[in-house]
Amino acid sequence: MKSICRLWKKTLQYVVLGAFPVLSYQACTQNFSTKNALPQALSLLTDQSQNENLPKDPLPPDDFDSPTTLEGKALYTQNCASCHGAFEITTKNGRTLANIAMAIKEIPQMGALKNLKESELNLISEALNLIAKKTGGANPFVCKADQDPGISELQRLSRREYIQTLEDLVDGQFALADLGAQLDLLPADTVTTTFDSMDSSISGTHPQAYFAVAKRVSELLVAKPQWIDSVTQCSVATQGMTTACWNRFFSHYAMRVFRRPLTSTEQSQYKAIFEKHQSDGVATALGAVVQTLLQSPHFIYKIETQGEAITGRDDLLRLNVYELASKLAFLATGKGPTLELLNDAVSGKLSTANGYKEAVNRLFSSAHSKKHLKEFYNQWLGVNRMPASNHTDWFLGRISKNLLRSEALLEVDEYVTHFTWENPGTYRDLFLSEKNFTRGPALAGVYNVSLPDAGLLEDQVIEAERMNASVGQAEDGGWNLFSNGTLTQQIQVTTGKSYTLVVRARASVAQNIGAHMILRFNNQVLGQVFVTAASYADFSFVFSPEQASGNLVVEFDNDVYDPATNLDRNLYVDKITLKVPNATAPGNLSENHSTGERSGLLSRAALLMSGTNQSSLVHRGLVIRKNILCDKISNPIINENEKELFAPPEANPLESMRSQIEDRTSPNRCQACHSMINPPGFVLENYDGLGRHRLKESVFDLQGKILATHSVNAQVYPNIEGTGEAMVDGLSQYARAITESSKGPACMVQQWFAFNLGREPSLADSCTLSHLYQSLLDQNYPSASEDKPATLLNMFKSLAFDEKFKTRKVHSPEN
Amino acid sequence: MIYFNRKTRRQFLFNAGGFALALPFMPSLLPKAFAQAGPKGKRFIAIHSGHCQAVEQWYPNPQNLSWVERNEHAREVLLATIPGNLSQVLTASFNPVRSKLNLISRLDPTSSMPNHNAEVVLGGGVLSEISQTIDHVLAKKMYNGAPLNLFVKSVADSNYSGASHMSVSGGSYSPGVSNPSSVFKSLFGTSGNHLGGVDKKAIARDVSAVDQVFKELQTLKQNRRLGTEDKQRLEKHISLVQQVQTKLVESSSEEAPTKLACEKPNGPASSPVFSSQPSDYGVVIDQMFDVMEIGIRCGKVGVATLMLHVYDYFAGNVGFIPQVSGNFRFHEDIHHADSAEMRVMKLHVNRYFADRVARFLVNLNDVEDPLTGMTYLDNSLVLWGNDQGALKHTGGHHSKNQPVLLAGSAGGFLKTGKYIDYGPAYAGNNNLVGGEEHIYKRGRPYTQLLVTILQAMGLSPADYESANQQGYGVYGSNTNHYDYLAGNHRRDILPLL
Repeated sequence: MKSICRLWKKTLQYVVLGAFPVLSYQACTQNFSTKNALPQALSLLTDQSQNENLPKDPLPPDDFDSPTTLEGKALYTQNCASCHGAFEITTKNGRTLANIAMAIKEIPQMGALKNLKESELNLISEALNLIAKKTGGANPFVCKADQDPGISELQRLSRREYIQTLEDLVDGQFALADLGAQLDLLPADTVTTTFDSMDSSISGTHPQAYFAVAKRVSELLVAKPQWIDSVTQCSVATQGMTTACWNRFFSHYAMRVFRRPLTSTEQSQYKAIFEKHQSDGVATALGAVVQTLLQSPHFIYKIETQGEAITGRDDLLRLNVYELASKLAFLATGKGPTLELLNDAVSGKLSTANGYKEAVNRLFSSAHSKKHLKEFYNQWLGVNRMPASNHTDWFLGRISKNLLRSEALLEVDEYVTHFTWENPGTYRDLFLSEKNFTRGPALAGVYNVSLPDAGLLEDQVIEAERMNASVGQAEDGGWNLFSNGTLTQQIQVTTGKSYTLVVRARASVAQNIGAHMILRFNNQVLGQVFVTAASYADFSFVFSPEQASGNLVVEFDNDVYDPATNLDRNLYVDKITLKVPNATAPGNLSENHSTGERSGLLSRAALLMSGTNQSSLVHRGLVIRKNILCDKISNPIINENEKELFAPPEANPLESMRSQIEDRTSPNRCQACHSMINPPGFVLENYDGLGRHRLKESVFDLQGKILATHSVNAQVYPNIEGTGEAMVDGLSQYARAITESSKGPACMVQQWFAFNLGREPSLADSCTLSHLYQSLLDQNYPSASEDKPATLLNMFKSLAFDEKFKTRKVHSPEN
Repeated sequence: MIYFNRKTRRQFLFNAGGFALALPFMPSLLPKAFAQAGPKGKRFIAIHSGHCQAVEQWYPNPQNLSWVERNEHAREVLLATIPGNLSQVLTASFNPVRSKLNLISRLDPTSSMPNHNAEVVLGGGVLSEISQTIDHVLAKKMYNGAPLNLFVKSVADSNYSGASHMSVSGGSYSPGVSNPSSVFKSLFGTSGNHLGGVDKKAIARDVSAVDQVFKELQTLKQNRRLGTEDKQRLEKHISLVQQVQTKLVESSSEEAPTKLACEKPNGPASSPVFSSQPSDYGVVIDQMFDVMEIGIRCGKVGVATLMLHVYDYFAGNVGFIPQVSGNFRFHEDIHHADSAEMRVMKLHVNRYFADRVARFLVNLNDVEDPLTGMTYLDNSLVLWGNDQGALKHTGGHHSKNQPVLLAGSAGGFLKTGKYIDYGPAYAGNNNLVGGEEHIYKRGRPYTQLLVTILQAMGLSPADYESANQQGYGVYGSNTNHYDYLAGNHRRDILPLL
């Protein structure tokens, strides 16, 4: 009986989710298309065999099958879901009748709902209050195995994919920098949501850029006989393009460009181009062929039209093996397939389960894959859009803003590297780990931590051009001290230990005397040497520091410059390596951050840094709600006379930033969004504009004098999945609430889906999302890749094993 | 009628990789990377006139401008926003190319005080301090040749030979030639000059490639397994490829304007040099500009200099200029007198030069490459300079604030259409150092202009620096004056350009 109830309930869920058309507001995004879903949904009511395959029950078996709840859910789906998400993952659970009525009255975008009766609003409210009681963490995605996947439009390669794929196709014969001017013509992809891969539009400059790049590559090809021989596997200059050469060209090079073998017709067409221009020379004619290939739509677009029609439908295709190889390659590495993968397709290996699994694991273990996944993290977390630092010097103190940016990005890189590959971790690790990945003094300054062991995690390399220079200029990858002067860098060390400093330097000698270089640590002279080497050479100094921190100084003190006699003595410094005794690799630090201060990625500087001294409360909240929780938050409609209301508030000696924001966003029409944005923004008020932890918000004057302090109140009702959630205090608890919700992990798998497939998932993709969700969280969910279950890497790979991934649904040609 | 040179366009298009296809017309929008793709196809022309410019005649009135203060210790204003004429000297004749000009103030040589030393313009110092001017460096590096040095000498006099010239090579002046018709014949001969044409084979390959892409797109669009939106995207792609096709076909057409006629261009058959008629001076100037223009259009001139006026040239008499009433000697009577009356005369003389410079620039502002819309002027850099500073007191020899007018963007390397002020140009009478200057706006060393030009033309420091000196030109005792810029600025190009 229990299982029958369960089946009945699941079936009804599907009906509620899919049976009704969704109303779209002017300022909201309609993500879930449910058009024509009613007949299919109704058919499910009598098809219980399909229902046996549904994932485990996401909702508790309370009153969800009561008629009133079903009616309330149906009304919600019809009227609210387009903005607030599907019922099971709604952002509005717990809303009361009064809340809803007020919102309709106050929020212009909700004006269309004024016709709803109070009884209908009440039904919606009751259903929302029921869902607020459900246990968090359950899989919100409802899967029906034979449901079509979401519709995929024809995608062009994103700029990133195009460049990375092109890099493979030039076979290392030249650096892409040689194509810099041509690639500059290729417009950047527009990031309207989160990811660059979601822009498939084609603009006027795209064909021009493709033309220019292809032409330039062909010119470079023609100029490199060895490359021509490589792409043809022939000695073309001596034997010409024989049939064997053509075959090898098509199977070794052209197949990589098209990501599939060329048809015989296509081969004939390309041979015709060659023959037409053969009188220009074999190499030049072959260059014309390559020039054409690289502009072809079969290179520019991810074309998936050759697969088998599923049940005879041209709008639902099972990808053929080459299309699958291509899709897999872009998923795992962000670029087109290698020859090895294509050959797996040619040989049929990729069509076998083991062969496919082997390919997935191989690709995901490649260096390209790591780069690709890190790109996902960066775009997902928004750290690729970290603002430039305009912090004042007094606010920075001893923290170098130039170093901080790179160190903060490096920290994220190492954080995700650690939990994705080195020590495969979980979703919780991303948001809760207090592991210390601090490298370098700037970040240590922000976190107020001592760099472990001898003040450093590992040998520290100090590039001369990043040191504070009293004179000179960057040159030749280093710094040219062309007059008497110094290079200075603050370092931290441990007294009583012995260090080796290696200075890489060279000199221009004048009057047969080299450049006199003195090395000091504060006032402690570590050594001196006359540098005479014309090329960079290493000069080592061993020292035991007398102080734990201070300035490491390279000094040049015997400059000579006389243009009349062409005398010029300079000291050039490339870098200084501070060799640390028993250096510790990052990620293996014994010490964590102080409990509660740095809980997960959200607490790290790369995500917290604002461009100014002021913390960016609203921006931080928006990033978490949009990127981490996938809330659809539209830009506010700003009337001319309200502009001031939307300007960032100034720090106020009389009022904390939280208090100011609370005041400003208190109107109901603001609360529609700010009830979501403010809580994460408030908990992050424990971090200042650099990301330093604080218990008090200081208000400064322009010179850095503290005018007032306000205690930070980081207590909020998180409103992650709806109102009614227990109060949390600070980021640590808020982050834990994210990990314990369905919404957080559900968002991550949707983001991974969108990043790779170039579109936001629709309701029709629920099976895929459900599969990813289980792969991310469920320790008992089998891993097709045989990775550790419920790990990040396992989830990333799982998309490749999803059956829907291997199909394509297109708009009906009749549409 | 003169048509553009196919070879030049080909060099421009194909040596730069062809990527400039259908770029926006505004050169300031061109990517720097393109502009740095290589020196070929770019031209550098330097024009000199002497005896200084009066500051209030040469520059717009700074009080009337909407300056934008910049962090680079400078301020700037768009020339387009300046009402009326740019200045008393730079009149409406410059309006057609106003967006392609840059007017710069407060570039100061760091060397010895010039005394009618025209070489300062391209060398940053006087003859005793320099061995080579940048025209020679550019000609060598860009075209493995020598610059075309021209100077105007329409009337016989004996006092010019000892005066300075603009171009220096091997530590000596490189005066060049003064007869434009002879220059024309040396460039084009008498039997016509065949410069070849566009690389039709290369264009044919381009056309083949784009035609095939077009066909593939058309075929793909017919695929029943694509949705409506997919097909719309492809349709747009097809239309854009058609535009590329059209431009390629036009560029390979036998029809004008792509049909080039540099084989027998019209040029001056004779020139009234050594004339006893002062008015012939204007004829020779015009011919000089015409020859340079034809040479540029036909790919014959890559680097050239033209001196409009040599010290004490023309026996000092500028009475042939219509507005100059009386027989005044430019140097003795006008320049050194510095009276109110003579300042008006100075304005007439400099306007006379200005109108001819403007005519030259406007003529060059003719489309060179239909594919990109780039004009000859866009692909060139023209410098009109003076060896003496533009001050309030114009009677003396001063070097501060050398008047600089740049035209063209060197193929997109430079942003154009600005008046950039690196320091107060109106301060003081003779000595601009200190005084009214703000401590952080002391001007910039003139050598930075030379480095900017060298790099704009595609050269790197290795191409022009000597073993013992960074930058280019003379870094004399005044160099320390620019310490406020922080660090070494010898390799920096001028900011805001």
